[in-house]
Amino acid sequence: MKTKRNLTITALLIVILTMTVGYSAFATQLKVDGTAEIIGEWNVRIANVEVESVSEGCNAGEPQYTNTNVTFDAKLLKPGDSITYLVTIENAGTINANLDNIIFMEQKDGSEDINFTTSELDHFLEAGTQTTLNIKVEYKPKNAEISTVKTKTLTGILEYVQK
Amino acid sequence: MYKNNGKGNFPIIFCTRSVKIMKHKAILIILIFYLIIAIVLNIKNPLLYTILNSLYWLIMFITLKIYIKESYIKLKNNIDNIVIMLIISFVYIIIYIFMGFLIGFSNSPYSHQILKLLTNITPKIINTFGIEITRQILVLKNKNNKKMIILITILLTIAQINFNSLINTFSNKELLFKTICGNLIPLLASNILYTYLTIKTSYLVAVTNKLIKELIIFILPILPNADWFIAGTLGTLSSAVIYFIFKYKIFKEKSYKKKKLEKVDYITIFILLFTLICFMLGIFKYEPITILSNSMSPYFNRGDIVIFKKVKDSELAKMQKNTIIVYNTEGKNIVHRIVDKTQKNDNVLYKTKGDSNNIADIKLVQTNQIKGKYVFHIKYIGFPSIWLYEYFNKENKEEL
Repeated sequence: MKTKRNLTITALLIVILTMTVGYSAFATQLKVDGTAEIIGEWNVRIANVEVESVSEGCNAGEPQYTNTNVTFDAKLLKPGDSITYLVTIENAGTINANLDNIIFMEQKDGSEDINFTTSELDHFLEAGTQTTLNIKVEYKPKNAEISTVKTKTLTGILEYVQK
Repeated sequence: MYKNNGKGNFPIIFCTRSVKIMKHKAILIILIFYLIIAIVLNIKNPLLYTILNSLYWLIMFITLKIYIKESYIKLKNNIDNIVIMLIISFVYIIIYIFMGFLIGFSNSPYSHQILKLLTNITPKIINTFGIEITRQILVLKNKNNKKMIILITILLTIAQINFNSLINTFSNKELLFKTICGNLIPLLASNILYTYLTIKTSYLVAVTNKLIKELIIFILPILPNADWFIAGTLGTLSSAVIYFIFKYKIFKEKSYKKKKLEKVDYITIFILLFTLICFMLGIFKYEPITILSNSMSPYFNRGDIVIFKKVKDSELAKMQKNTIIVYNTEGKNIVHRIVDKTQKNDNVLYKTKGDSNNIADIKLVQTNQIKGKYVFHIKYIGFPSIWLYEYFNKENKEEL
């Protein structure tokens, strides 16, 4: 009886400590909303990110993505250059989703020469279907004053809820 | 005609037993076949799977309820056990909601219109009753056969896995790790608990716990912002706590003569584990952070864990030179020393530098980036986290 109890406690300790080590490892990265991980049938996620178009000589980098996060590093050479990324959002769950809220925030103290444009998104995303979002990064064609800051971050939040 | 020689009723008992064994074997075989079909269907067509899954468990529930009248199902103390489980489950819900006040809430993605709510909760109720009555019939017949008990528990755990979501994680090892820890381990832990409770009392005790835990997600308008770590640790720990409460307090499986020390040691372990979870989540004033580089060497090194103290808003602008601070930049936490302090308009900016770095950090640190200040460090215990971090980072890079 005592051995059985000790085994149970040891198993519990191993499981919790493994999770703690894992949590500590991933805590160095950005946290994402975990609601979708708890509820199995709700699974709206980013399915793919690809470079749709890129001006000559520019470097679109290799866009990285997880289920809930997209990161890309666009390098533009001269005014007028642009790169367009195509983000595919998939409703892999069994519940129809509605785009409840969409926020795009540009870095306040980022370069004024960089412009972001995003396409319209369908508000309804049926279970098992996909939708796409275009994000265009552009070096403004004409700007009298060239700023010293050469980078700018765009943060986008797409909040899907059950329809 | 049999004579009354003490063996006269043997053939009748034998026949009844054979029929019962056949029934149980049939249920088990049907379950295995169903699971194979369900896994394929779940991956290929999740919407159709949801409907057919509920239909299967509804048919199982009605069939088992009507045709198999098991006289050996214990009803003694059943109501008492259900009431105890009801109280325990509500305590769990209170702790779950309380966690939200510490880690924050997010909107529930589920609709609260009556019709939608019913559409959401009906399959959960049907599936729960179907699964748990199947467990009752199967485990009670095999309660002395450990291998069968393990097999039944695993099969019923598999029956509740969302393979469509799981298969999507196979391409990303980090996501797979999080899914295993956050979903599969707590699911297995709860199934072990339900099998135990079913053997000791009736399936209704397990149903009570499961329904309260699952339906509350659909009912609450806001939910604690729980990530995989909270879902995994609290889910597993709660099942273990309920198991120990029933085993040693309700069913009193152990003698009263045990030593006082033995009586409290598992309670101490649960409290310590819960405290560890809260500590990792940063609920307390002090929080740990794993050091990934040697930039602060020799003060502390890669693989050490630094404990830092959160700083009040009023103290953020009053940090002194030489203080080691933890600040966040581009989603990563940095632990460096303040080497200079400047003021721009009304904002205080700090220049930071790693002790072993040749130059100071390029960007100045704003007060709103600061998470806390260094208190002390523990050597080497952060290495497992680093190995895991590097393993997953390597995997992600290879995938790209």
